[in-house]
Amino acid sequence: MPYQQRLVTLAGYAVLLITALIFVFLVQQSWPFVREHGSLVFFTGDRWLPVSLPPVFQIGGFLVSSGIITGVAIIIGVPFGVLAAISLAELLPPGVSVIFRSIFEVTAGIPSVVFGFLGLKIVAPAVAGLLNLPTGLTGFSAGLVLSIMILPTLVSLSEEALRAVPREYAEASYALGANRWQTIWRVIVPSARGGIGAAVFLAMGRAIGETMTVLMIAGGRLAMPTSIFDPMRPITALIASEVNNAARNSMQYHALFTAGLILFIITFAVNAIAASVIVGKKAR
Amino acid sequence: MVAVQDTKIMLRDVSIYYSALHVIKSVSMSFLDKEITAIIGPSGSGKSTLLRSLNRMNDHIAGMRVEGEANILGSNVYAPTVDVVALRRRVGMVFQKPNPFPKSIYDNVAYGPRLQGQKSKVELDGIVERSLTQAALWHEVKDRLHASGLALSGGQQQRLCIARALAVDPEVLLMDEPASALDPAATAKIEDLMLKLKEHLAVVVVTHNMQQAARVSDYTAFLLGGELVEFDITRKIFTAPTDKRTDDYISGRMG
Amino acid sequence: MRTKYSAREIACLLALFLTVLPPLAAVLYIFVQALPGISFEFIFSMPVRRGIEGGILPAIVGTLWLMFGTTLAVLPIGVGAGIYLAEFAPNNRLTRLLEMALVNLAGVPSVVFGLFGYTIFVIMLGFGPSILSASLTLAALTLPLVVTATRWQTVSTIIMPCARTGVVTGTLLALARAAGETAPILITGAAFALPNLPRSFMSRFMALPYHLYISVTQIPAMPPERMWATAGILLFLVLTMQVGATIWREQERRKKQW
Repeated sequence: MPYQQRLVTLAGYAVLLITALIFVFLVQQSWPFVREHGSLVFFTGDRWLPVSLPPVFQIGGFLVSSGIITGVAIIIGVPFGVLAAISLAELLPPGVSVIFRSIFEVTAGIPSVVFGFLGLKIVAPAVAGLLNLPTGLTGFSAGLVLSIMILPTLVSLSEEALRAVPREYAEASYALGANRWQTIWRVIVPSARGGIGAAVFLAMGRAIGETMTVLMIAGGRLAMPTSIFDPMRPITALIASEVNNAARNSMQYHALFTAGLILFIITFAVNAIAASVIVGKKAR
Repeated sequence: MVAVQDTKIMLRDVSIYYSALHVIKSVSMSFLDKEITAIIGPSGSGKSTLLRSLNRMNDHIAGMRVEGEANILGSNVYAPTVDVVALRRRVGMVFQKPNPFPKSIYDNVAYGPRLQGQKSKVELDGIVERSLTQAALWHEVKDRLHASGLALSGGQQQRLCIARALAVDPEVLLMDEPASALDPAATAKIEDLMLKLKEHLAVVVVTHNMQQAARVSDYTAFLLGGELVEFDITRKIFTAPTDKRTDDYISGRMG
Repeated sequence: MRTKYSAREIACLLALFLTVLPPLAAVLYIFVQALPGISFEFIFSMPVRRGIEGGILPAIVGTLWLMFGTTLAVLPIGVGAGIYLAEFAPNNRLTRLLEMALVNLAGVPSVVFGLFGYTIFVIMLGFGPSILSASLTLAALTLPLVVTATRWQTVSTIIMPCARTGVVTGTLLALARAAGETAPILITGAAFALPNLPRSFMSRFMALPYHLYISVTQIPAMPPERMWATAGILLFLVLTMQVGATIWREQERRKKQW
C-alpha cells in the first residue's frame, strides 16, 4: 500500500475512532452517577435539586421538554419543508430553483446563538402578546424558532428524495390523464416517502440536539411542563446552563454527563434511522 | 374505402419538429377501430415520437412543434382548445419498460378511475376486476391485490400496466415496444392479449420486432428517417412491399 | 414549457416563499439594527466595564484564532477521510460502519461535543480551557462537513485537483461553523470580557457567539445596540463564508457541465 493511501485510510479510521471516543467518554464520565443513583426514576421524575441534601437528579421534565419543543418544530416545519421541496423539485424552472437552494444553503449557516437572540427580542414578545401569555419564553416559542432552523435540512433532503423518483412514474400518471398536481401528489410524493421520512428524522435529530436557541428562549423552568406554552428546559439547555457551575467530579457533574449520554443515545437512534434509509438506498 | 366512424385517428401532413430538427416529415395515415396497427422502422426513424404525439406525451419537450392536422377521435388534438387530460383518458398508453407505480396492484389499476373522481369501493372493485381480467392477469393476482405492483414479474408488471390503462375505458391504446423488455414467454402472452384487446378498441403498437408486427398487426406502417415510406395491410407489407426500402428493411438488409 | 400554475401549486410556491422569508428577513433586520452600534472603536478596542463600554476586539480576534485552529486541525483528517471514502474504502462492513459513524457524528448535538472536548482536551490531555481545546473540539464537530464535501468532489484517476473544490467548500463551511458555534466553546475555554488579546493557543479567549450569548442573557445593563452590533459582525463573518462556499460550488458545478 503506498504511504498516501495508508495516510488517508488512517484518516478514515480516525472518524470512526472519534465517534467511538465520544461515546466511551460519555459512558466513563457518567459511570459514577449511574453506579450510585442509576434507577428508572432518573428518567421519569421531574425533580432536579443538585445542591440539596441529599441531591436529587431526575431528568423526566427535561426529556418531556425536549420532546415538546422537537414536536412543535416538526409539526410546523415539515408541511412547509415538503411543500417547499415540491416547488423546487417539480414546479419551478431549474434556474429559479438554484437561487432558492442557494438561499437555503447560506441561511443554514446562521449561528444558533443568533436565532436565540432574535427569538428573545422578537419571537418571544410576539408570542406573549398574541397568545396573551405571562411570558413569551415558552417551549412553543423555542419550537417555532427551531422549525425555521430545521428547514434547510428538511427542504434539501426532501428535494433530493423527490428528484430521485423515476420519471417513468410521472409519465405513466400523465398518460392516464393526470394533471401535474395530481401526478406530484398521488405518485411522486408517495414514491419519495422513504427519503422524505429520512429528512424528517434528520431534522428531528437536529432539533433535539439544538442547544443555544432553546437555552435562550425556552424559558428554563425546571418543573415538568404541563402545556406547550409553559416555560421549560430541554435536556441540551440543562447541560449547557449547569456544566460550567458544577464542580468537577461532583455528583452533579456526573449527572450532567449522564444526561449528555442519554441525549447522545437519543440523537444517535434518530440519526441511525435516517442513515439506514440513506445508506441503504446508496447500496442498491 | 373504410367507413369514417371506424377511423379513430387520422393524420394529415403531420410534421413534428424538435427545435430545428425535423423528426416527423409530413406523415398522413389513419388508424382504425378494432384493428392493430404496427409502426415499424429502424431506431431513430421517429416511431416513438409519432406514437407519443397521438396523446400529446411530447408536450413537455422544449422546442417541440407540430404542423398539419392530427384528427383524433373527431377533433384536432393540437388545436389550442383541446383538453389534454380528457384526450389522454380516451387514448391510453403502455410504455416500453413496465412502469407500475410503487403502490399495490389494486391502487395501480384504480389510479385512473380515482383521478376521475370515482370513490365508490364497489365500483372500483368492479373496475379493478374487469380491467385485470381484460389484461389476463386477474387469476394470477386476485388473491394478492394489495401486494405491491413491483413484486410482480416483468411480464406481469406489463400486463398490470395494460390493466391500468384499460381501467379508464380508452378508445385507443398506444403501445410503445411493450414487449421489448420481456422474455419470449411473457412476450407471447402480451401478443395474445393484444389480439383480444382489439376486439374492443383500436391498438397502435410501435415495435422493432418485425415478426411481432407480422404476427399481430392488421396494418403496418414503415417509417424511415421520419418519413412514412409505406403503409398498408400487414400481409402486403411483408409479402409484397411496393417500396424497395421497405423490402430492404423487412428482409434485414437495413438497420 | 408550461408555466401556468393551479391553485394548489400556487399554495405550494407560497409555502416556499414563507420558508425562505424568515431567515432572509432575519439577516436583513440584524444588519439594519447593527449599523448604529458599529464603529471603529467598537471593532478595534478592548472591552471596558464588562463590555458595556469599549469594543469587542478580543472577541473578533478570538473567533479568528478559533477559525484558524479548527481549520488546521480538521483539514488533514477530514480531507484524508473524504479521499479514503471516495477512493479506497472497500465495499464491506467496516466501511458501512464508517458511513454510519459519519452520519451520526454529524448529528451529535453541539453541547455533547462540548462535554467530549472538555473531558479529553481540557482535562485528560491537560490543554486546559484554551483556544487549543476549543479548536480541537470544533474540529471534531466540523469533521463530517469536510469529509462529506471532499468525498463528493473526489473523482477517480486524478485525485487532488478534483478534490480541491470539495476541500475549499468544506473548509469554508467548517470556518463558518467554527465562527458561529457557542455550546462547544462554553466549557472548553471561552471567557467573557477579557482585557487583552490571546497570546497563544494555550490562552483563554473571547469569541463573538459567546460574547453575544452572555451579553444578551447575563448583562442586563448591556446597551441593545451593542448586542445587535455583535450579532451583525458575527453574522457577517459567518455568511461571508457560507456565501463563498455556495458560490464556489455552483461555479465548479457549472465548469464540470461543459
